[in-house]
Amino acid sequence: MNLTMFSPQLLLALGGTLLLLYEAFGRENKRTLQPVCTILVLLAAGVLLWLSDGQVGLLFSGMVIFDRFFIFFATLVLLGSVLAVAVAAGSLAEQRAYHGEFYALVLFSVLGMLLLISAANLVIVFLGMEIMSIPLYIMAALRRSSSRSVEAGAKYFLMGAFASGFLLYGIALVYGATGSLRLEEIAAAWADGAGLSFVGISGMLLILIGLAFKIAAVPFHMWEPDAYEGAPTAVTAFFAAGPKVAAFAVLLRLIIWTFSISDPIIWRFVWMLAVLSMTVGNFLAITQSSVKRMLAYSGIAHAGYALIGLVIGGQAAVGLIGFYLLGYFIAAVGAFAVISALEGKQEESLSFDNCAGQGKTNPALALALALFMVSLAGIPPVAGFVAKFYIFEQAIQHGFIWLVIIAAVNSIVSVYYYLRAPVYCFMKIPESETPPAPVSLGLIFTLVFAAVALVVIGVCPELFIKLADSSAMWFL
Amino acid sequence: MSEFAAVAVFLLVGTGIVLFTFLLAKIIRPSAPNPVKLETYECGETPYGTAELQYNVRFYIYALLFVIFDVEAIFLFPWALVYRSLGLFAFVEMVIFITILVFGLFYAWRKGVLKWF
Repeated sequence: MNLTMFSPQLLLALGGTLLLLYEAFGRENKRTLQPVCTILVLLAAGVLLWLSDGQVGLLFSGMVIFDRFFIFFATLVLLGSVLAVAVAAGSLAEQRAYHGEFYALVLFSVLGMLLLISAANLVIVFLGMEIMSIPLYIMAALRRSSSRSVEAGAKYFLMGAFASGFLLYGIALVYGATGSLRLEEIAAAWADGAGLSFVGISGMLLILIGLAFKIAAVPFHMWEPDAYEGAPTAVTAFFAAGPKVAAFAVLLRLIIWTFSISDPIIWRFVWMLAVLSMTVGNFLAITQSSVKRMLAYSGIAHAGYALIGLVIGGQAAVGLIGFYLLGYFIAAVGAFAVISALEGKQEESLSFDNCAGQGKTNPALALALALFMVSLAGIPPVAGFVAKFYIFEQAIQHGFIWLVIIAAVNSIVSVYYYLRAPVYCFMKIPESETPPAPVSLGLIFTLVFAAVALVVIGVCPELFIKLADSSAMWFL
Repeated sequence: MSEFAAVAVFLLVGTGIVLFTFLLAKIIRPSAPNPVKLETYECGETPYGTAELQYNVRFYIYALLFVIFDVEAIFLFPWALVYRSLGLFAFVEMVIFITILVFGLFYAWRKGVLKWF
């Protein structure tokens, strides 16, 4: 057995444990060293990941898989976490939400995400899901003095536990139908029709529901707006980057590879999830007065757009969704970073009215916000446009005209609320003076990186599309 | 389906035995109702106050630490049974496992969880 293929996970576990000890025993400069160490561990895990590029294999007697798919999605997760931690370094203390455990929790959560993406056995899927989620519940409640934050944590925990129940019950039924927990054996049983019994299909639908909770697809989205709004904004940035990508990755691995999408029941189910998510997400986002909550609903809508890729199915779906998530999470993390800076010391989440006049006091932040909103709305020339265009074009080629029409109408609706934030920033006269926002080094790093990445992906997307497509080469 | 039928039979017989023993006890035992019999059991002490009082949150943290090391003991038993045949690799693995848990205990200790006041 080759342990180098598992070394990113091992490093994250080691780093998380040591950071926890450092939080307990460290004395000076803790607040600056903790984020630096966390980012270094995350980057080192990324380097270890790419060092083993080209290798494929099953580890721990078929429990964990290492393939190009894992490398690609794990890179997205690590990148998103680095960006979110850089924001957290400055803003957590500012918003009275600093607890040194946050950094250890980030590493543990990322460890869970990597396990989830590399799972080749349903038990590891469940284990990864729990290792990922439990730190997230704690992070949501990080600002202990605020009842909203505690509410966010409690709600996230209850809904998460509910989702885990669905997932576990589904796993049990699939095991009952196919007699195996290994994904390759389940795939074989599915292919020759042995798994296609009532029990098997119910199990698969229950697993799908459990994962739909994690990607916040309607009607399993209830927790997301509250969890996103109540959590400290830097933590929300982490929520938008890590768990969503990991949940989509495992969804792809299970639906495309294990249970082939051609089954009509599951196909209709995913179609319905996609349409409901984008419609409900977009129309609820219009009515929001808090920018953070609006972005939470927009996250639901984007999950709907990404699910179009799953409806198309086949190996092509992997590249489509991978590229779409790349465009989405960079813009989302960037937008949350700007919100976190504009909130400054205030504990309530940023409302549109607070945005008024920011174009004058914080022109750079307002411009960055405008860029991220443009990308989320899908306006050229940034990444969000290419990602949306690519997914719609593929859907038309595969004959899903109605789905694309619904999605396009939704996109047009969404422009209204995305552009509301920049319009308020630049065109509305503020009622009172807005103070200049505190800007930390980490924030500048995240904003510059996200803005440059979005433009680069938007201008020359071929390279990234190719990279995303290559992730479909998984070990069979 | 026959294997599942065995489970159903097992379930029925199991439920039946419980119901039967309750019924049998009801017929045989003498009936002597007594208010003391309905009191809350508090390890032989005379109960006082209501049961709905606020507990110190430390109880839960203690319980959490206890459960962690309880589960660790469960993992140690099968490992100890086959220790001879597993050799050095298993020894190192178990040391790593326990070290992680001990780090957790250090963390809790340092954060003042083990202090009652």
